[in-house]
Amino acid sequence: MSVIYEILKASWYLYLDVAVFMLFGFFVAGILFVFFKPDRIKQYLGTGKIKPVILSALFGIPIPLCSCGVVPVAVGLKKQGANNGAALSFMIATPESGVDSIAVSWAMLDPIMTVIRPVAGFITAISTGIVQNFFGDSKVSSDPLIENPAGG
Amino acid sequence: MIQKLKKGVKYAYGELLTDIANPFIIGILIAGIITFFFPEDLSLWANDHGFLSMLIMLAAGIPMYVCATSSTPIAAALILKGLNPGAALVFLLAGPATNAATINIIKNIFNTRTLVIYLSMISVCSLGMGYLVDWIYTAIGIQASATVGQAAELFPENIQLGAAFILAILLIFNMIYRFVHRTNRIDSH
Repeated sequence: MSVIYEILKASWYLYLDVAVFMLFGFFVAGILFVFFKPDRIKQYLGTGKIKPVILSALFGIPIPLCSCGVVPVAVGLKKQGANNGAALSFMIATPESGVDSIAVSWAMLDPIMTVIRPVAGFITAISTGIVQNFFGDSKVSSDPLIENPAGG
Repeated sequence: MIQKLKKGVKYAYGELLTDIANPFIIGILIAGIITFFFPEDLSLWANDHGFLSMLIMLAAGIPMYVCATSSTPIAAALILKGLNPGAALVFLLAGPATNAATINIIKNIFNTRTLVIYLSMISVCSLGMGYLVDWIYTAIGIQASATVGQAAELFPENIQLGAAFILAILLIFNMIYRFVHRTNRIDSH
């Protein structure tokens, strides 16, 4: 019984540390979402093998969607004609960091980690996207799969 | 303008919070469990096995379904126990980006070749960035376990308690809403 108590106590202190930042992070995330619809990103991306990859990573970093929530948006990007590298880059950058997780990192981690998380996410996203555009199949997979990626 | 602001706030504390509520609570509880059960000083081991600890965090992070926010308390708890910050960063990068479900989805909407690129690039980049972070902390000469969680102490306890209370109410409200919503959905089928 005291084990559960101790665990809950530890969790409670963590929760106490993070609550202010969570509220603030969610607020910014909500504002960001309304003024900046993820499904309209394609029009800003442009063309090429590198530029759209970098831009979609830049868009993805602050947007607070989790790895499953980002899938429909990335599929939407692909449908609107973004290349595979750009879609992949968006799919990595978006869940790896968001304004909410940046706020939470500031509260629970330290300034170095708070800065390095989005930077590292950005680097991971663009390197994966660029490698995909140069070494992956450029052919887009058949449409039925795109229509229904998760099987429903 | 005001309308948009309202919509944003509603989205933030409604839909978005609903998405993150469960994983966040589980993340906090796992962090609590780590705090309680893990040996007091991981650093003795982690200092000698910097790369191995990064590999372990990579293996743990890739299939796990955690979002960026909910992986943070887990990483914080591990760093406080003495895990090298590089290994924690590997978890923070590989954890949210990939999980068993997205691996399957990538294979479906792209192809196997893309999946291989995706997984290997994430692994290589995470390990590289982890290595870099360990190097940064060593170069500056600070212990990550000493700096982690300091920012929260900026706020007086009253404000922390107030925020905790508001967030708790929002979380509970979300749970009730989701519960009602779910039963409605079952009814309609």
